[in-house]
Amino acid sequence: MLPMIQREITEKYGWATEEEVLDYYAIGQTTPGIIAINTATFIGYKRAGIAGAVSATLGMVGPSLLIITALSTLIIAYRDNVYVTKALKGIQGAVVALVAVSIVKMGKKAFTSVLTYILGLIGFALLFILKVPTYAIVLGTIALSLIYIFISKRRSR
Amino acid sequence: MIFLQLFINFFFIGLISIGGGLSTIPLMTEILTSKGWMVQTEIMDMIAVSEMTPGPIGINMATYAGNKTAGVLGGISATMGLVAPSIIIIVIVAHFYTKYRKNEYVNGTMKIIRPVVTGMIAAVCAELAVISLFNVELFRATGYFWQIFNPIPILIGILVFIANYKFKVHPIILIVSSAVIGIILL
Repeated sequence: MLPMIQREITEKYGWATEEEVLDYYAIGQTTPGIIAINTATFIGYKRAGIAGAVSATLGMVGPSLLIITALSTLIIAYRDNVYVTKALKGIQGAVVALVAVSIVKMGKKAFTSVLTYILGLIGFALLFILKVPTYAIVLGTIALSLIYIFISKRRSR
Repeated sequence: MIFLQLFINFFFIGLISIGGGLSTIPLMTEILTSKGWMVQTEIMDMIAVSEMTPGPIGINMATYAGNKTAGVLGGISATMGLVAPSIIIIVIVAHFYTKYRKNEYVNGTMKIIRPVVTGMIAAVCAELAVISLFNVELFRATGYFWQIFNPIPILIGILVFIANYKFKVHPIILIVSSAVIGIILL
């Protein structure tokens, strides 16, 4: 997504410099929500205020709304058709594989030390085995890491 | 009202999902199944359609889930709910973003939350694998060990993983071919 945003925004329209786009993208990764949406919202806001932020976001979700609404309406309508059922069954293995590929790709960024591997295992176990609610795991992790950073900052002082 | 419910629940998903990629999947799956809006096999349809079409996958999934639950307006409500926190948070952060970028708390928390979220997505993936690649019921009924495996979906899964990871084949090609194999063999 990033190369396309860069090309359109910096080269074609000159709405932001390349450096700004990279900055916005970096921040988009650390704020909640979809990264592409966060980046687009940021560019829109910097360029034209709140109206700009809303326009950029709506522009970004427009194609999804059209394409997915059409496709999902079709699938839902024909879900019981024997061929559709078979096709969707065939797709299930592919879905697991594609999600697995994304996990491997995310893992390359996330797993940088022994500690991070342990954190990954903890996240897995909390959800898969102990069925802890997702929001509790996320909020708990944020709270604990803030405390951890606060303490290690004080110690180093 | 269903539209307001969708908006609020997807707002919450947008607020809690950090780390990009598929980070919306764990909470979205949890909410969709616990509210009875979708079952796990339908969630797999949703991921398939969202992977093979253009646009951010999180947005695609929200539109799909909303449309499945309450029609076209439902799709719009869910999608708007998902992006609303982004708009609010970015508008706030934009005022001090150079400070925010260098903030130790933000960057330190990201380093810790990324591996946890990746583990959580792996947990959802494992759950989906259990229902699609394995046949626990049949194994329990018959007791034959080999019957626990669903050979065709497993084979499709292995091939798709290699094709996408190693050879960067686009998901649309892989999903359409898997659908064709499913129609012929399943």
